[in-house]
Amino acid sequence: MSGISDTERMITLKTVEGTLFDVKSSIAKDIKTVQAFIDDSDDDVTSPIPLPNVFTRELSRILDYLNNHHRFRSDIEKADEEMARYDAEFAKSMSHEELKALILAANYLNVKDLLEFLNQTVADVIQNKSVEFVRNFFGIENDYTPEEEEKLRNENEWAFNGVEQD
Amino acid sequence: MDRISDLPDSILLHILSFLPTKTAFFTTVLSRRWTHLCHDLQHFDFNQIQFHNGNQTCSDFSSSRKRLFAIVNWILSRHKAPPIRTFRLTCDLALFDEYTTVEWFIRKVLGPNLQELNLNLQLSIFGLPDRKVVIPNSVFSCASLVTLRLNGGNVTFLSPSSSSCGYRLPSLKTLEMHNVKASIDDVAELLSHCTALETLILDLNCQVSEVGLRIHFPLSLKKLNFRSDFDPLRRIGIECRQQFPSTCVSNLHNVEEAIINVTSRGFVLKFLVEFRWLRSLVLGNLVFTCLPQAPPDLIPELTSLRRLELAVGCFDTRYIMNMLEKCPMLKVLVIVFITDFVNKDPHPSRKWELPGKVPTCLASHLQVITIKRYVETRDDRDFFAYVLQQGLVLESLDIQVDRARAEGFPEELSLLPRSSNF
Repeated sequence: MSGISDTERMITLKTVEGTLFDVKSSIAKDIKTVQAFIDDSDDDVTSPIPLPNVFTRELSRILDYLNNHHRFRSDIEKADEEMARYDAEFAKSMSHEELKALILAANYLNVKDLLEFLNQTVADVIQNKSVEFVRNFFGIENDYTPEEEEKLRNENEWAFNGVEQD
Repeated sequence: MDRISDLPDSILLHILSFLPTKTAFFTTVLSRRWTHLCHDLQHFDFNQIQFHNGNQTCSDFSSSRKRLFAIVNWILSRHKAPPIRTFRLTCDLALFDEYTTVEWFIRKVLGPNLQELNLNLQLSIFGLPDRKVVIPNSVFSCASLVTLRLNGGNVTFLSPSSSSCGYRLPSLKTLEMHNVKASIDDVAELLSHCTALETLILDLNCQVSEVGLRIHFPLSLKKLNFRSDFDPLRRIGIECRQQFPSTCVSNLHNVEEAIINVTSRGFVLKFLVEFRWLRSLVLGNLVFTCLPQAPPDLIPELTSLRRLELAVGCFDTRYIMNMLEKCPMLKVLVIVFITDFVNKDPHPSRKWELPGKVPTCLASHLQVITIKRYVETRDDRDFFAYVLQQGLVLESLDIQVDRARAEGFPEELSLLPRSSNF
């Protein structure tokens, strides 16, 4: 498993709470915001990179995801099944609130693959759910009057076929 | 804390892009902000199945198609900004007008920002067999296009050589064509214009070629899935073998994963010889009808192959051992029994032959053997005994039995002597 990674350069990230994480530079490449920071600094990055918008819980999840995906990619023979199993577990392990917090963190850090996966997960969650469920999920305040909403529902009647009733 | 209301529009739109357009549009009633979001959709995905009333009758198909077309028409007609990036349409076609309408849809969504065009158009039982949806030439010069999928026997495109406008697809990464009505020559010509292509899925059925079979694949290709029942020898007749222009496939050096399923042995070998850095190979059920008979010395060595999957009609140990011999670095071997294959052993009298020398991969690399939909045939047990004994690094031998008739088999297998300690 190791071998090539022993000599790899490490980068230190610092969350809002001040927790420090050591990250391999090959992993940091996938975190575009961090990579941009590294590219912009002329000297070697030795001091921790502060991430003022990222909490410890989210960063440790993101690093867990990236580390595992790196491992899967290096072993394409068994990758697909293991990766699918890991991804399913990863999505299941979070509450809706945690999922949303992670999306914000992945968006800020610009981790493209993870963001893609998380947004797909949300899409799967809200698919065919009732209007109330989706409003609750996103914490949306309904600013339509009942009459306005009724009118919109009628205009878009085709889109409501097969949707779970409230 | 209401964290989600902090999600920016860009993320909400991204989430909506994963939903079928019908589901995405239902969010329009959530709130005023969401109504606006629905006007900004750039990804459209329509499937006739979502417009069914529930019963799968012929009249329901026809009415669901009508509803689908009306909605697509309504959405595309009023769509202003921002530019469309994805258009997916899955439906069947029956009436003359519907072919024209689909062509109109394609022209409407085509623009300098279109990244994915995905058409899955099946012929309805009431369809017009001679009428085809002609993909406009401008699709093939759409510089922004990243993914192009064309599926269905009633889709065609004009021959690139006859078209005056230049074919150019510099951004195209994925090209997928199933049963598209075009000659192999035209497809090959089209491929020469896809300079950045990484994934190619071609399913060419019943196609003929006028000039023989010459495909120069884009050098950028990483994944290839090629299926064709085109057989130059069968078509020309065995006696004309010499006159037929040589089959030629080239530029497959960078391909890492391939699925090959063709009926002609010469064709399979052309592919295998061209692969240099292949890591994963699947040889499909059509290959089983031609490759096992090939003399082993014709099969090239696949020096970097890590995963091999073979479709088999029966447990042809000679074929399997011959292939193992050619893959010194193999880590994973998967054998899949073809379910609809008439389980007729072509060589019922052939016995398990102890190989002259142990395949290199068995002694040093082969970790996993998986057998799917296993149906017991001839000399399997000798084979299992052999790999368990010679497989020094074997971690697992997983046999998934299809039929409930293999009682006692696992116990028997566990009695066989093995060399590795899994």
